[in-house]
Amino acid sequence: MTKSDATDPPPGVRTLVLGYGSSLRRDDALGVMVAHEVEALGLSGVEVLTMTQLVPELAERLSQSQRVVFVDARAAKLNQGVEVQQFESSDNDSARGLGWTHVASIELLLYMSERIYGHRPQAWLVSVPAFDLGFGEGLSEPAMAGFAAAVARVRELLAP
Amino acid sequence: MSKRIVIDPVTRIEGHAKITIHLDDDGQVADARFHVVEFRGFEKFCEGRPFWEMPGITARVCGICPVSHLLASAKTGDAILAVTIPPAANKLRRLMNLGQITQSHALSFFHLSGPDLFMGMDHDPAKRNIFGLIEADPDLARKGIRLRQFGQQIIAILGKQRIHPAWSVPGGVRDPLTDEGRAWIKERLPESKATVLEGLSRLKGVLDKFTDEQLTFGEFPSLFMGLVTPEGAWEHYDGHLRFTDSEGKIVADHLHERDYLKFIGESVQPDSYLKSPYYLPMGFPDGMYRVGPLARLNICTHMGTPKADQELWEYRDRYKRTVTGSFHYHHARLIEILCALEKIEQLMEDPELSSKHLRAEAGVNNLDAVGVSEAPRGTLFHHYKVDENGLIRWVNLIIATGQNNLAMNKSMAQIAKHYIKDSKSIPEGILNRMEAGIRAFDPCLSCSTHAVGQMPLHVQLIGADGTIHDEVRRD
Repeated sequence: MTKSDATDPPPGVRTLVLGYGSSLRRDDALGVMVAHEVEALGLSGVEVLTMTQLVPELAERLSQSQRVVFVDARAAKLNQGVEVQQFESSDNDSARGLGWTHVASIELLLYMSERIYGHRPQAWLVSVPAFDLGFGEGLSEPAMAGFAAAVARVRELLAP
Repeated sequence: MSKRIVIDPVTRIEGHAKITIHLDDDGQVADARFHVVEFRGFEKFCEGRPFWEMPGITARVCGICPVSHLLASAKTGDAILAVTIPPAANKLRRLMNLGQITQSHALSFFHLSGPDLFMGMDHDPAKRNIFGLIEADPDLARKGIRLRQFGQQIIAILGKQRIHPAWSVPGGVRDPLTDEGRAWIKERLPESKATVLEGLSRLKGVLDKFTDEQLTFGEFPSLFMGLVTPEGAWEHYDGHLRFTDSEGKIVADHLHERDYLKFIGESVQPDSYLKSPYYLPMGFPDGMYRVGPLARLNICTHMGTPKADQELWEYRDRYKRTVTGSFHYHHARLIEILCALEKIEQLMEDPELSSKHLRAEAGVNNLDAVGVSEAPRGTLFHHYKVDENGLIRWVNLIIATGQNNLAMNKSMAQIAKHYIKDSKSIPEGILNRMEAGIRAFDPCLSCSTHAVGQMPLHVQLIGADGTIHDEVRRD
């Protein structure tokens, strides 16, 4: 995790960028790497978090933000690109998350943010094509292109 | 740095769990097995790395219990250095592990098992989940989150990073507890204790609704293993290993982790990547043992803190001295949270946590070393062999979930035999009981897995001739 992992966000933070994935599973690190790249831009009012998996207590942090951009790797074929999905409202939330494993879903976090903490932020998922999810460090060559494109897409979403 | 090791099959990243229920010629349940088909390849991955990096690397194995790997790895590093770490470092590591136990158990009880316990096993499956629980009882859900958050924040205060703190290192720890951190923990302690006491009260209030489950969710004799203090009390970080049987008799005591190969064997099943450890002197599969909260409460004489001891006496009065039903992992988990919070409270009065003497310095003095600690879900062993330069030559990790594998299999068989009356289909309520039977152990199936999606559950009902009578998937 980067500079920001306190329970309460720094004053003035309106946008949260949350990159997640395993840094020991090659391209699965894309979410974390993109988030680090965004953090290096030093954008005002933007807080960056990185982690291996989404966990339930993030819900409170989400509820304190106006906008949240999740960044994750997505198993893909070579001709597929970066995709952006907006999470419109809780109407479409399915019962995914925390059924069998310890991992929370984006839908669950947004649902918890709204129902428990009273505020649901605008939310997007930027999913970055991943081609090699084996054990190891460093991105595969085709994943590099997606990395740069994902940083650009996140910057677009963060534009005022 | 780019490094790649190919270990097949590792082409996917989601884990998969599968339960197979096997019928005999008469269509009755003969056996059931729990399979984990996610390959854990981190032991190979670590070879060639400096042992100094191992706490940081192994903490990244799992996004759920990084602290457990961090501590077991750092203790293995201590053994390679052949040092005794400073007392303050020992206490600080303990504090972090207590935070880990609190956060992990809180998630297991309030959010993973809460829907079953407070809404009922046969409740509408569309609502019997965390979404439904939040709808039905948002206050309980919120309290559960805050209790987990309390434990997570202790880890963050010490390690600066909540998920993968590379704070504990061979020889000690990097930083002390700050005054600000100490004040935050003290302020939040009363609320956390109130939440776990409420959890205990609520659990006791619903136990009568689960009489059948208490008798069938892994209610059988087995051995139990874990760490105890030199006096035999509950332990989570140091001490020695003890095995007891279902009658409470001590089978083996004062065992040192470095000798684990003399008392733990590892069986590899053809249908699961999860290793199945067993108590070696009794052989496989008779040497089946359980680890984790249920085992830790069974093997210890007492918890060592006032309120937790009070709860332990009541727990033993309610069930028996050695509790053999895996359903009671839930109850044991709550008592452990209470004990952890009381121990944290005691540590908050200890000025040594602010000490600057935190690391013992040394070079490589042992080429073969073992470290052990109690992860929330059971005893965790790290075993490293290094060369003279401290580069890792070989690694063996024995994780808690693997040690419960034989007992989880037996639990599945017991649940299936009790509940499956029609050998042609698996009703939803029974499917859920099988899930809940596994969930009682709180297995960390995502250890080594970053679930891009969720981990699907796949249950198959298989006839004596191999025909699949029914199968159910829950994504």
